[in-house]
Amino acid sequence: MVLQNLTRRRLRSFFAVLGVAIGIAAVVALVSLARGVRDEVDDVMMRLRGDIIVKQRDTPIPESSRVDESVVAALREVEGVAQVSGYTVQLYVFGGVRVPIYGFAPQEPISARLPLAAGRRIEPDGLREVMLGVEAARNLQLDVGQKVLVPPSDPSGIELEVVGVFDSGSRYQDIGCLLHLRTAQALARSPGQVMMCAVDVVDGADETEVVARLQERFPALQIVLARDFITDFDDYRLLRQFAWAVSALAAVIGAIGVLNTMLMSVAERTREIGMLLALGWSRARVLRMIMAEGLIVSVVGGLAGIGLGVLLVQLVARWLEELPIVGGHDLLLFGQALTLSIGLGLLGSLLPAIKASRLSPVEALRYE
Amino acid sequence: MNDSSALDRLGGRGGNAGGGGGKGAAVAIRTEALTKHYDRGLVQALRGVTVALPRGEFVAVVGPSGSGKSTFLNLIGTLDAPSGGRVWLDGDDIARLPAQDVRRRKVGFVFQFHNLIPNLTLQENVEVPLAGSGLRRSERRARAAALLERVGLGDRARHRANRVSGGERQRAAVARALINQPPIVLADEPTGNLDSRTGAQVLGLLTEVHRERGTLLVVVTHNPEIAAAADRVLRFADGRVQEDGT
Repeated sequence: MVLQNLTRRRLRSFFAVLGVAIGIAAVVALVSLARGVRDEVDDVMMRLRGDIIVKQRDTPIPESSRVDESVVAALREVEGVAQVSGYTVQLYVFGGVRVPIYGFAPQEPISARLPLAAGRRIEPDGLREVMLGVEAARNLQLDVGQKVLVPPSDPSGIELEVVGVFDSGSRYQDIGCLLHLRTAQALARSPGQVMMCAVDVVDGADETEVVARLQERFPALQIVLARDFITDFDDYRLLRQFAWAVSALAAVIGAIGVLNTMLMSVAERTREIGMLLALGWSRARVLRMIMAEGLIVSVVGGLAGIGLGVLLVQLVARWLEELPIVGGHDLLLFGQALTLSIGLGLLGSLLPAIKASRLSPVEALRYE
Repeated sequence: MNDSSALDRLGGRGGNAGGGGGKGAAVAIRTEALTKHYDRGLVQALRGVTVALPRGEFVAVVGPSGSGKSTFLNLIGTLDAPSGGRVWLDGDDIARLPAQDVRRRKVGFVFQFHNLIPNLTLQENVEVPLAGSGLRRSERRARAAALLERVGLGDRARHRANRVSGGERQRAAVARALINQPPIVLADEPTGNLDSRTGAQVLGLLTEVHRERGTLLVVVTHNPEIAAAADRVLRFADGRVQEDGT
């Protein structure tokens, strides 16, 4: 009977389902994208940037951090530290394609970790050499042996020769390219400074203890575990808050959709509900019937919304191809989305259900 | 008003010290000084109705519009609560009985408008009062099918309510009222929306079931033919029983 009640006004039920589906799709898509960004950055941190990140304290974004190169040598002296690499990251736009450019000293092991797909690595004196990630090579249509001007279209820029192509397996890295640290510093007009330092700890050392030791020695710097870095990342925090705020708004709109549909449905069926009460239905049974209708709308809307959300993430990832976004969705997120959807359905149908169950049979039967 | 004669016929008021209806008596429904007012007393729909309605009786309730007939029916069927007075059902004060139990087990309603659920089949509509009754689905189906057969709708059971005629809907509504095998059937102008031939069929159905099962049948009507067919006629005027006779 519950299903039949919903199919009586198919179009209205469809729009109620659609409202929930859009709300849940927004939740799934935005949270997935926020998680995708986090996972990618996490991935970069773990693969490229060692165990511990050292940066300038309290910079609004990581890119504005500046650390003196002399610190790199001092960090190496601390007990438990195996390797330290100072590096820079800058973002340039080549014909509409955004390309992050990493500057590393070529002799540092981090540069050597990148798997080579073609050509060779940057020589220790290769100040006019560049290695491209496979995605960047494809996006910029460049290959080994070709030249590229950085910054692009800037007559005062530096012409670099593509000497190699790397394939790290991480899209976030592979859309970028690698320069000699000196060249990157010249481009950034910050000689003698790096953006951050990546610290590797010696095998078997407790990373947390090393962080504490470093922090004691360099109180002016911000020293965090690479795996925690993303959670301290203001941009990410903002992104996550934005994702949840928009999701919450979308979800509330979905709940209002259910509320409106169920209120209309109850108003329209006032006589019928009066008759059910006259036939001996308990008020609790009437309440359950309306709630069940809301529940079905929310479950169907929730499942459709999850599918729609996954589709949206894929579309966004394809649309913004140069962005390193892959949806970070999993069964847990789907479970949370479905639970949220069911919660919305129950919340949206509660008021109409209470209203229906409190009808006076006589009044309801008289209703025109 | 002729309340006392009706009570006499039933063997006295059947009351006890507490004013009860007297359990075990043939009285199915007894009312005592029943009143109902609306709008803070500005509208007096019932002004003290005392009657006793025994089992197996066919009672027609007649009177002009606004005389309190339907209000009386609603109060004895627990669809509404009285402003004053009492209703006794099989000796129990209905104010102390759960209204839903009374409606489910004791009373079957037939209204002027059938109020069937349009997109359910006649079979499903007739089964509606059995929802949550604890009966197995097969039993619910069998019971509804037998009743639809009984009201001449055996071949229409699988038709949706919005696909059958007005007379068929009202016959299905009668079947729905009888599905719980109630000892009391209350009908509020059950033929009011039907042509005379179909109306006669529906009335015939109600009276047949009344005779077969010995139910108390109370019919509110403007139709003099129904009143003529009844065992007893309660004539209402200004919220009172003006006349009680055969």
